[in-house]
Amino acid sequence: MTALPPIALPVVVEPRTRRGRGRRPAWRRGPALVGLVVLALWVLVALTLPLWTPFGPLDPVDKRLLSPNAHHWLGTDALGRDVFTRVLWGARTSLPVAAIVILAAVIIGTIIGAVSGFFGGWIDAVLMRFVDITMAFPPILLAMAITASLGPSIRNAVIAMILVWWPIYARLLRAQVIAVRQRDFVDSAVAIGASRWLILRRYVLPMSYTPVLVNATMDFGQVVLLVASLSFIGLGARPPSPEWGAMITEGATNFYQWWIAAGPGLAILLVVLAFNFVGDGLRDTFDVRDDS
Amino acid sequence: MIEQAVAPVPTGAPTAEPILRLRDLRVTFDTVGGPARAVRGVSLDVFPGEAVAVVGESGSGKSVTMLATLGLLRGAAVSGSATYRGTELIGLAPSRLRHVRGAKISMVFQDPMTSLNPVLTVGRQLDMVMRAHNPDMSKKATRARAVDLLDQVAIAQAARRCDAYPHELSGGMRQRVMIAMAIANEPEVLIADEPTTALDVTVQAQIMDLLGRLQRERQLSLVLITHDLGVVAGAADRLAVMYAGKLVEHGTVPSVFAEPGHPYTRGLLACLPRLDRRGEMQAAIPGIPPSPLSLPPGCPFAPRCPDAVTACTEHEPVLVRTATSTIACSVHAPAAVVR
Amino acid sequence: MIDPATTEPATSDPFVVARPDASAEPILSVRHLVKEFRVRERSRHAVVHAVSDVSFDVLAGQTLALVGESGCGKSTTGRCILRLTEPTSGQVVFRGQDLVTLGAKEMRAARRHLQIVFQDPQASLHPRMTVRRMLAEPMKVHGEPPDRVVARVDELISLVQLRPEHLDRYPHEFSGGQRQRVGIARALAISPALLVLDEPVSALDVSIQAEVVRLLADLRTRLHLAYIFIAHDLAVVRQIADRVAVMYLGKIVEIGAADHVYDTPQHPYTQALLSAVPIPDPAVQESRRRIVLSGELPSPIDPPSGCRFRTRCWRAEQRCTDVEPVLARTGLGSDHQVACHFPGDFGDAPSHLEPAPTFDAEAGS
Repeated sequence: MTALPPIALPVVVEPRTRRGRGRRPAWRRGPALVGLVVLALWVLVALTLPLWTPFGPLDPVDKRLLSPNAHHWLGTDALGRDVFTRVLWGARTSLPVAAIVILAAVIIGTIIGAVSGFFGGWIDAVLMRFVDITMAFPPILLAMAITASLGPSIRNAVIAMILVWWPIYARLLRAQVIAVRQRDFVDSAVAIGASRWLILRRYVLPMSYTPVLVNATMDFGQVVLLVASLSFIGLGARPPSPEWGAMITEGATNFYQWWIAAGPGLAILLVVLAFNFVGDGLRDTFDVRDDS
Repeated sequence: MIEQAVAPVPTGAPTAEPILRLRDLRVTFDTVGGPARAVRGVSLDVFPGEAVAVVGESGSGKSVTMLATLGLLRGAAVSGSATYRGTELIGLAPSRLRHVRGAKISMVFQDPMTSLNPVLTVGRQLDMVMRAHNPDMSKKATRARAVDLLDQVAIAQAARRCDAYPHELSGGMRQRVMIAMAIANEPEVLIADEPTTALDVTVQAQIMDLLGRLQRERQLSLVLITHDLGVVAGAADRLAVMYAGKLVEHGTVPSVFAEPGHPYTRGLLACLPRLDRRGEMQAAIPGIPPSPLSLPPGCPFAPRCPDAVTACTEHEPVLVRTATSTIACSVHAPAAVVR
Repeated sequence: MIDPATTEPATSDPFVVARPDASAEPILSVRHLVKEFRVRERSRHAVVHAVSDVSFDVLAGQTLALVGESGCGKSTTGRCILRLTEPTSGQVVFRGQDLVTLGAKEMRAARRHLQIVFQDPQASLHPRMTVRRMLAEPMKVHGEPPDRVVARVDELISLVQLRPEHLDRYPHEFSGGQRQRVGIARALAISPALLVLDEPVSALDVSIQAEVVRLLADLRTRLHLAYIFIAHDLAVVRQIADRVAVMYLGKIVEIGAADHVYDTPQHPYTQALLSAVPIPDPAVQESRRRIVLSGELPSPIDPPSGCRFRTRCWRAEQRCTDVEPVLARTGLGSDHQVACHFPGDFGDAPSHLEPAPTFDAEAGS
């Protein structure tokens, strides 16, 4: 026969042993572990930086535009500030900003998505049309428009990014809620007389949030990138504050002093990659749980 | 159509040469949890024109045995021998195996929806099957034969259905199409893997009726893989019962049903509900089948067996011929006494 | 005690033991139940007639089986009774009260008397809840005091013949049969009077099926439960049902005491259905008279006029096209009813029959 069907292996394997007992979950192995360590270091640095850094982020400490050397690992910028110090200080802006944006977007997205998917009907139709419209614009463009109208500042950039980001989670969670809502165990919760609120909270949401969690982790990196982008075009953090995007803008005017832009660029790369690794690991971990 | 049930023609004279011959077939899957020994030495003959049923619960290795025979298992270690008219199939080059598979031995699977290609019409899929083995056939010829085949599997308005896509057909019709594909190249052996499990009972009757008719008319050898002893009772001449990757009993259908020798076969028959009798079903087999990752020592059925004695957990019994069938059981057919 | 229709005072007995004479009166009466689904087929709106005017009674402590093939509406009927699917019209009268008219809050309260066990125990148990939480949940929902809940959970686990250590496990740690026991225990947690069993054993291996059916039969006697047993496996149904209703394309074609329906079926469809079930005994199987139906099940979007079975029936005449048969007594048993213009014994079936004229009525065009 030419059209051979895929062969599913009809082997009964004990559920407990199927992934090997004692094996660490995927998010604590391989690239995900590397990502986790990198992130932990960034957080540690961001928290403790003021205690041990020899230079201030805003103080000119040496000659201008020095190339990387033993004193200034990433050289100095056009105002004679230590680039390495400023890159580390950047984490004190980017990480909390990303955390606030993601947290707020997840909360708003979860509420809207859950309501939309669980109750359906006209509520769903209205909310999802709104989401569709929001998502029809490229996030950076929308964020730019919002920030521009509110006035450029890091606070307004945060507000803009939350507004841009929550529809992603709303839609993701809605799809998941609709799928979970149709499963038998939800029907059995209806049958025992549980209220809709209880069913949503205890039966539907716990089985729906996984993709949101995974995506939020990965999006952390994207938000870091977006903050930098907004700052780069002058709509986020303003110079002289040590923010990665703003620093790259400064670096761009000193084209031959590559280290000024490369430092923050490398920082963004490290953070984004680390979040992606952790996100991938989380997804693998949850995939295992869901098919068992 | 209404008809009297026709008794399956008792054939399979043991004097004839078997058309399909399995000897000590073993299949092991490498899993994260360790090697899973799904089939542990199965020997079975299929004679021309007979219907053999291979029976077992899920995980007994009944499907894997036949898939391994046809080289349809990926990522499994297969050893032992499976010959078709003297040609060894295990380890045969894929290019040569294809000449046997689908042409001499074909297979029908449980779920016709996943086995059919959803984006091709039924006629096109039949055309592909035919041309895989007869590349010279013209489109016109394959088309005519496709309509003829659909007609043979009792699909009404065969010419029109030839242009239908699988999703436009009911489950029963899809299974008929699968059977048409399986017989398109006039095979000698048809392996049907749970062909009616996904179907309703009246449709199941239609399909079993069809398989029986095809088998008689074409002198096919039918290997029926099933968990349903009811289906076996009406459709097979011989019966092989599998448990934990091994044959535990085989014999003719009437004798095994009348006097099952192995405690597992007895248990299976005892727990079957019967339409013609009211009464509590007996929970004759406690527990669940062992995992192929960790088989108990000795007889794999011993932990669930009502007749088990200490010896059962020490040695794995071998198949021994008794008055009515052949069984692997140290209690009911001790190897030392018989033979 | 929450159901206003309950005449009995609330009792502390975990198992509501019905009065001995209760078996004579219906605990549930379904009247003219209709469920239609709106679907979109090839860009036009269509209506699937899933359940069309179905009426039956369930007696206290008894088992009524709804049997039929896929698409006959048996599961939809079960879901409509519990209002997991809202019926299009009709009444579901439980202890004198029409459940269909209840508001959301009253319905939630009434649910403690009617529970459901699903076909696939894997899918019907919350994957991330321990058995203990799962069993406690229904009681918490209905406001049982916590100490009572703890005691009852232990009681339930032994009731379904599982061990106390099973309480702290998750569903994936169980075998199929054990999972179904958990599903049954959860349904029993709030001592319902009626259980809808929707294909409770068809996902299980045969050797496991027997155990679960026995358990169900045992619980029915001990707790005086009424069952609606929805199944396609007629051999299993025979072992547990007191009464049987045979459904075809959304309608009951025959209903009556199990022995009457199985031994002297009067409707041609019942006869075909029963004769198609293989009997695991070669001697019986080879001598049995079998009817192999021709053709396919018609579409529930456009069911045949008159009698819905007429397109595949060997007794069909003009009248079957023109007039829809209603359920009528056969005279064979007190409540044996059949919806057929030409009821009769199986023996009347001709030995050979040409396909009915509308043989291909369904057709995927």
